[in-house]
Amino acid sequence: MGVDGADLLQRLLVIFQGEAEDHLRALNSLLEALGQEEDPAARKPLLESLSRRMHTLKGAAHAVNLLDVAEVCQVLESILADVKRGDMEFSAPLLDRLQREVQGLEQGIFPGPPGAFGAPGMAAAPVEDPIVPPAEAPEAAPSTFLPAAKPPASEPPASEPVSPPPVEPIASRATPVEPPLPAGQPQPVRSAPVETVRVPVPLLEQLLLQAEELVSAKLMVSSLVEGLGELSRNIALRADQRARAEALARSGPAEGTPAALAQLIREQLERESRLGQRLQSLTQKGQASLWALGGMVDTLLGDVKELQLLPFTSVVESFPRLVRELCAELGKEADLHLRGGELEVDRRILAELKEPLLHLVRNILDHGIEPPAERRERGKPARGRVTIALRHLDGNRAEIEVTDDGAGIDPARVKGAALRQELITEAEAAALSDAEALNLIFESGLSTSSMITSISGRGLGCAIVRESLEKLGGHAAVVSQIGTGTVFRLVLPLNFAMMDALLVEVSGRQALIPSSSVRLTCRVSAAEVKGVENRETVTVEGEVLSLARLARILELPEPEDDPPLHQVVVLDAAERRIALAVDAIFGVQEILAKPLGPQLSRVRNVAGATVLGNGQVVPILNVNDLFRSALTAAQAKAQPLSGRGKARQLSVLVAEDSITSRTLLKNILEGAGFAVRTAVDGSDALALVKSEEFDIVVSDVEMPRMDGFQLTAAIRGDQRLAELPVILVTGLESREDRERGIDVGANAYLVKSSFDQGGLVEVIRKLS
Amino acid sequence: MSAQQDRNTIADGTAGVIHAPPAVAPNPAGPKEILAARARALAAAPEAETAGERIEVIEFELSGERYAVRAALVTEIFPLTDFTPLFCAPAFVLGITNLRGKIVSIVDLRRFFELPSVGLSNLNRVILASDGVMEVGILADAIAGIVSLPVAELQAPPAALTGVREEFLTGVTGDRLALLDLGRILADRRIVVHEEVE
Repeated sequence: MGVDGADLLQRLLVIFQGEAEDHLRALNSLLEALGQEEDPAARKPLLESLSRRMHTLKGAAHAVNLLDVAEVCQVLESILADVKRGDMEFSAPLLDRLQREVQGLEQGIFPGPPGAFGAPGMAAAPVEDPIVPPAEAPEAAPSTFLPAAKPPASEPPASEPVSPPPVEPIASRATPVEPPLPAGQPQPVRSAPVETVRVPVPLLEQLLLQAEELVSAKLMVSSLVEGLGELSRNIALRADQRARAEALARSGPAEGTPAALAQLIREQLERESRLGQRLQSLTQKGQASLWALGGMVDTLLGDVKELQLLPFTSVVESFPRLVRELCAELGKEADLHLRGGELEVDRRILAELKEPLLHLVRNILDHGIEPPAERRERGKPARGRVTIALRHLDGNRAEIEVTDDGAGIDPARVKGAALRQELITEAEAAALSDAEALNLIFESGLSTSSMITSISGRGLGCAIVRESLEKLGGHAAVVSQIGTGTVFRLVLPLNFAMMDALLVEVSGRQALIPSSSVRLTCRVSAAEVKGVENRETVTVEGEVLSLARLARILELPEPEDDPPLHQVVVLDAAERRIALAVDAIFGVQEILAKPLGPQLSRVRNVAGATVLGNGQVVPILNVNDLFRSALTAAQAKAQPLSGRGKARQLSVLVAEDSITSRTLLKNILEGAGFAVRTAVDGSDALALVKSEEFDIVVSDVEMPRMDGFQLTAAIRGDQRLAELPVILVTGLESREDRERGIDVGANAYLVKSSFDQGGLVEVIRKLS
Repeated sequence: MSAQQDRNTIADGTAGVIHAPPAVAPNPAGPKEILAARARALAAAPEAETAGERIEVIEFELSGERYAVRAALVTEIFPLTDFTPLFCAPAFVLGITNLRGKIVSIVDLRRFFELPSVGLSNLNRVILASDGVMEVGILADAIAGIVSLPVAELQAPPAALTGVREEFLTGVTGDRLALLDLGRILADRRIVVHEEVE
């Protein structure tokens, strides 16, 4: 392999350490959570996550030749599997042992001085944070504010080496470990490893030029603003003239009035025509600016996106080596062929792809490729052939085909394994076609392998593949021929950025559905909805599809009555179709998909969000989840749609200046079945009650422009509205205010801090 | 071993600081007096000032109660002008908003703390907190400002309190300002939403 090989390994090691840090962090927090969980049933998902992480870490460690680490992972994975199955009892000493082994892994992966693992606070005394006083502090320290976190005075400081506890380390590698941090000790701030990208200098210079160009855009906007300012001053002058003309006209017929009026009107006309010209020129200028700015932004965005592109090779360059090593370990022979390596893919997508590809290759070598002798017997060449090929599908989509000429997957065995592991019932198994059965291998925990080896066999690999692909907005499928081989197809987007999506509305909220999954949209009359075995179906293009209501899937309040016509979006993904009922369909938009941030790591049915042209943030739905949710929602459906209460929906006007309170109130009240309109302050509310019909008004007291008292007084002052009930909701808890509220004619006065949601709904029902 | 000694030396230094007599005696008097006392303490000669004796905190109001978080983990504070509620997310997630092109999730700490009765309030400010890994916007009614808090003024929270909020409470001051452990909130698994469709 020579120098290049060593160099590559070194590079891989650095990449691996970045990845491992993530896994270790997750393992640690999962273990901690496991320790806190008392309900054995609730431990299951935690154990599941732990197994997955461990599995992935094992694979990654293998790839960079850290065999000791991989070995420990393997043992830990087995223990976790035993606990998950209930073969081993979960206990505090076991948890302790697991935690120490994970710390041992940390040291195996990050050799060097303690604390080198990205967390300077781990080993050093927490000087930065004086919350935990040092151990030497006498008990009577006057200013400790977290006594529970303070180790007893007799205990040595956390960083001092302690004699190892009497539990045997699992593997030879798991040498001296740090004692666990005392509970309650503040966690050190750990920053994520910083990724770097190489950028060709010409591209960098180009980017700088384009950024400089934006200065001219700024100037254009400022000249527009100036023009607009002048215009508004002009309009103020015009209002002035109008007022004078009106006064003149009111003063009645007198000598010279008509002439003076005519003069004023002429002046106004002149001013108006000047204004018109000015407006026109501003509009033209605005359009030109938009044009210019649009050009700049599009080029800049395109070039910046190019910064994110890396050749596909960069993710698979380590694979041939991995294959050689695994082959040696397994006593098999195989070659890996890469195709389409030169195609460029978004860096963030490549990062997501690495793990699933790694799992697939390991699975193929372990289960797919037969030993040389067996291959010869079957008349195949002794060396197996594995191909990873990336090709461009259309627009923004690409497909990775991972093909092998191994033993293939037997659908009957997959069914059998799924049955044994109770993933499906007998009846379901009987109904499954072979192709459907094969795709069960993407379910977590399903493994057809009777032997668990260090390479694979726990049935997690394929589940990770599916999960990663879906996270990217793609999907995974498998076809196989017994005896000849298997093809895994992974469909993925080429870049995250722009995509087309269908904007829909449901229960007053907007949502986007990626166009790539939308087959068509149509309207279906309520009469065409047929109930089949407690499920609703519609016939679209001659095909019977089950009808799912998006409002129910998204856990939003559904309207009391069905509309005469359903707006239907037919979704199409991974060969399945479903009809989705929404309230309104607005059309397709080009959007920039953004992630929801680290806190919202995975939200059911939501893939991300985008900012629309009007500044509104709109969630993008996760189509794969929608399919799954539709099934669950259909099963959960208890009452027939027509059987619900037909009481007239009360309409409520909410006047509240705080956006959060306004939205919360709207959600509470809509959840209770009211139709809700909102106003941002008193005068906004007054305009609304005058133009629309409401059953009740709920208003905040403190608002700009017109407060709640003034609004109530104005409503009471209007003959038509005098009977309209008004509820004042306030943060002011004073007797005078309460009395003032009653004085101006409010029907109820609720103090914000003391009322709960149910209370408000009750009051509204009582009053209206 | 020399590193160990170094740490001990540092620890000793810190210990000395922590045991220094409180600059302001715990005072149950009104906030005005306390502020005045603080102002006096701030105006006093800085020779007694050592790192660790005071901490910079951001004080904010939440449903009429006063809280503070250490300023170190606060990236910025911005007014909440618009946000989008998110479907299928737990109640403590108010929604998402657009901060200069980045989507930021906003958390209502009152619901995260599972406080029994959550009334309405004017949650119009967002404290953006980040530890480099986790980033989240925290709702507040109003921001009182950055306060330099003498460590000595902090007392352990009453032992009788055992809610979710108390888990994240570092201490309270004499004038009932509750200092939350932001680092711990950011590192807590419960704040992360990770839900699959069953």
